[in-house]
Amino acid sequence: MRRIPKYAWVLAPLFAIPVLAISAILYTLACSSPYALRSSAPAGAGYYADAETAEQNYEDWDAEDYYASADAPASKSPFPIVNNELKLTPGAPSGVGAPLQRDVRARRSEVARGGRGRRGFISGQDDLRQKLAAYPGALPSQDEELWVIQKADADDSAGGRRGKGPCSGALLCKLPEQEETIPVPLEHTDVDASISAYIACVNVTQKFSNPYDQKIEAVYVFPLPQNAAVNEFLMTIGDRKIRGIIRDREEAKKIYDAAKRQGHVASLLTQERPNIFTQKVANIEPGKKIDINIKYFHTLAYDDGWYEFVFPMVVGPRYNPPGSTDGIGAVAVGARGKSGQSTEVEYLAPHQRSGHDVSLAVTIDAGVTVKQTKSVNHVAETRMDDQNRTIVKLSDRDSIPNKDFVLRYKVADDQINSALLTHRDATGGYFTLMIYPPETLRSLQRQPVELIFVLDCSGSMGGKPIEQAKSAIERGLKSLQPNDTFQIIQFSNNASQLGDAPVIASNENVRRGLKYLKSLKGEGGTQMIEGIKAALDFPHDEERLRFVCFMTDGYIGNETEILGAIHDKLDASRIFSFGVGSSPNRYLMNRMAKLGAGAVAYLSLNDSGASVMDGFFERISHPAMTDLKIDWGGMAVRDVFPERLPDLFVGRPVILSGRFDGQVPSRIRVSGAAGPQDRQIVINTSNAAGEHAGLAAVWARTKIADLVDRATWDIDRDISGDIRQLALNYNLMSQFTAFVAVDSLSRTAGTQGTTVRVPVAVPDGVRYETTVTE
Amino acid sequence: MRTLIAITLALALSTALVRAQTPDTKTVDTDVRFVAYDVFIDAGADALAAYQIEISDLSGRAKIVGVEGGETTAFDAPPYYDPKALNGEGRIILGAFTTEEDGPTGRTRVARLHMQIEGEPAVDFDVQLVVAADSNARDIDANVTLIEGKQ
Repeated sequence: MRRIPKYAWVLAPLFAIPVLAISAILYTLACSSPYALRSSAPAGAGYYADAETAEQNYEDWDAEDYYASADAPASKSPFPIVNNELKLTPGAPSGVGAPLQRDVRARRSEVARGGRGRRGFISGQDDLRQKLAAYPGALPSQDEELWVIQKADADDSAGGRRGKGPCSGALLCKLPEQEETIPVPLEHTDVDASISAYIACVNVTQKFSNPYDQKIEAVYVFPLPQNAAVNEFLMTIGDRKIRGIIRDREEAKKIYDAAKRQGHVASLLTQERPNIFTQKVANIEPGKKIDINIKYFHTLAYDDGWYEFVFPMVVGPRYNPPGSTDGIGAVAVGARGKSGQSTEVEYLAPHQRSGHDVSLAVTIDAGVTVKQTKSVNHVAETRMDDQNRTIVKLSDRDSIPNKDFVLRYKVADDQINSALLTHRDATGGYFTLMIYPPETLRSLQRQPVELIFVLDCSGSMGGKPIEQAKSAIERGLKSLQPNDTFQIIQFSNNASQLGDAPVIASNENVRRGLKYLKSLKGEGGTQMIEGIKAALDFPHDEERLRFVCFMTDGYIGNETEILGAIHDKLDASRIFSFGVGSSPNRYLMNRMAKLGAGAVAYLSLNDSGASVMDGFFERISHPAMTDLKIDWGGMAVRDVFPERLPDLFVGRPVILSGRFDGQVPSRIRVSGAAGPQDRQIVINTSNAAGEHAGLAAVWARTKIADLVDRATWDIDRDISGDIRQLALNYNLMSQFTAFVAVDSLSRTAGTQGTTVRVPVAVPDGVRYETTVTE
Repeated sequence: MRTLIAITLALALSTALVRAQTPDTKTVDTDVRFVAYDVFIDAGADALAAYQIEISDLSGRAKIVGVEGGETTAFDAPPYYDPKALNGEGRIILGAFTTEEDGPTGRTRVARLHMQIEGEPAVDFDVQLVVAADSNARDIDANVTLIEGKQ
């Protein structure tokens, strides 16, 4: 009798690595061995620099024009050298932030001690809510739970956009000598995404080079999707590829620093926020190139027939309240340290440009027919390949990374069904379940609402963003019914409002509201905490459903404080966050909506505010399917997120992520109530089940997000150890882990070099003058 | 099939050489150093298609800081490591495969480990070849060695 080959079980632990490509050999070997395991996802090695081409490009480049000699006076240097000896300025003295923080903490402690409970949004949920209030994790806390009200419309004007592109005449309004070219050590970013079912696998390659005549360390702060499960990191030096190792964050930093000091080429990837990362590459010698490849998975958002893929390209300048030091500072090129924040982004002035550009391609292998695609902010080309896959490619004419790339696509209506994806490896089974709400919900009508509009009037909102937000609120006011009530609150350096309490939506009151709205302008700081307190401290009208609509770009650095305040003060409110501008803080927007059991919408600079608000009213015009229960049919599930099953709203699917043992049943039944009626959704897994190798990483990332959410209100529990261990086990980036890679084989000559930070453009539509510290 | 090889590496000489190349001694750490180790697998006449090895640092002073691929196209991609074994138990488990029909025969460098070593004395590694297989999924006899890498 033939024994089972050893590799079939010995290799098994390595399958725990989410992208472990050993599956490919098993697939290959399966041809000859009945015992070989099977898996379906060979890992891609990602994109690497074509060293020969890169070298040629370098040769063609006239370095003399840009080099700053080490001997030259610093004032003549056109590039952003920051001496290693520079330190961050000491933190600003405690200001208003401190007492507010104490207030929030006190409130959290009160809640943690079993203080004020919650009341439900949907009738019949009160008891459940009260029970859940004292149970950490019971509140919605998963990215996929988020209900997206409306996405920004596609820029079908491309013409309008093109007008700002390098191929248009727009740049001709500025004489060449007025432009200052800033050489940067990041030449190019290449993004290669593939979408299967509703999960994206994205390879990002950052091509660093040293255009100077001395050794440098490159530092680049960049965004990724807030639910990205980053689980692979490669450093390429010439034709050598070194896989980075996941480590405890502090340990990784020590390794990197030691390698840097000793002259080794090394790289370090750390996470500053769930959607903001810092890439450091040490000891890049003059003329040398080093590529960094990052790979991640994430689930796509879905809304009313449209799937959405987002690749953020630039970190928006954040406002940090006085006294804070752990935020994201926005400073001008060469002004490092002036923000007083631990992480800083250097922004190019309006007259400055860098050569950094981006290429991007998305391959959609949906398994069903893609009927339509839209690129919201960029010019993109769409084609089908010979395998019936849809390829969307960013146009070369629109390659400046100063706004989010947002791709939406629609599949045939009759092909949208609830779907189960599974994956098994040596660590067990993983699944995601997307549940689509029944169409019959559309026939039911809403009850009266209490609508609180909260408008961000800070400097970063100045200009078009605030005008768009105001137009959305205007539409909202005009859409109210006479038995609804409303209030308008503005915040910048502080908060003020239309009146003491919500007023009935009479014609006279709506006119007053519109007049007040018209008087609001974008200037000053972003004390969002004041806006939250003002919005959530109103006494609630039991007869109406309360919705609080935040209209903001979310450019703040104290997200944790904001989210904690929302958790503490939410009570019966539902929060709807409207992200305004070309690169809003999606992490904050999404988290606010999740914590607030509400929804998120985005208004890009090309959107109609009225249209987005119409979408919001459309959504609240029908009741949700509540009290969901799932009959898993013998499938033993565990560690399912979100822990509390959310409500199902019209057009808004819910994605659950969890682990399982046993066999996948032929049917999964989801039951619940819509008003007085019982409803049931039957998911036929034989038609709607698939396999995806990224599910383990997606699940682990979801669990980390859940733990992070808990940290915003469960302050008595130290969850850092849980997050750290989970991230280490699943090879994942987190706030407590980091990827480090060192080339120990060789050492570069000279000292450790000068640190050069990669400056970026302010997001399209954001005013440099009011947001960047010079 | 399973081969156990314990390797003790004399590093004093290499350390001295590395130090001699160091341009700025003022900033060099004296407590840690970075060393590359090449992983060789000798599959004899068989063509190597997949392998898994396990490495333990018996001295407890080595940390892996990077994994690089080998010298042949069949194994030039960096192998994958088991993060749970690494961070939970300090074991380095590496695995790789090739889809090429003709894998390498004889002694081949299949990977390179980049390590951070604390202190001066030599580091003891326990290296095990857990499995090696050919393209027909058959176990093959092979042995593994770990040797300090040279530039």
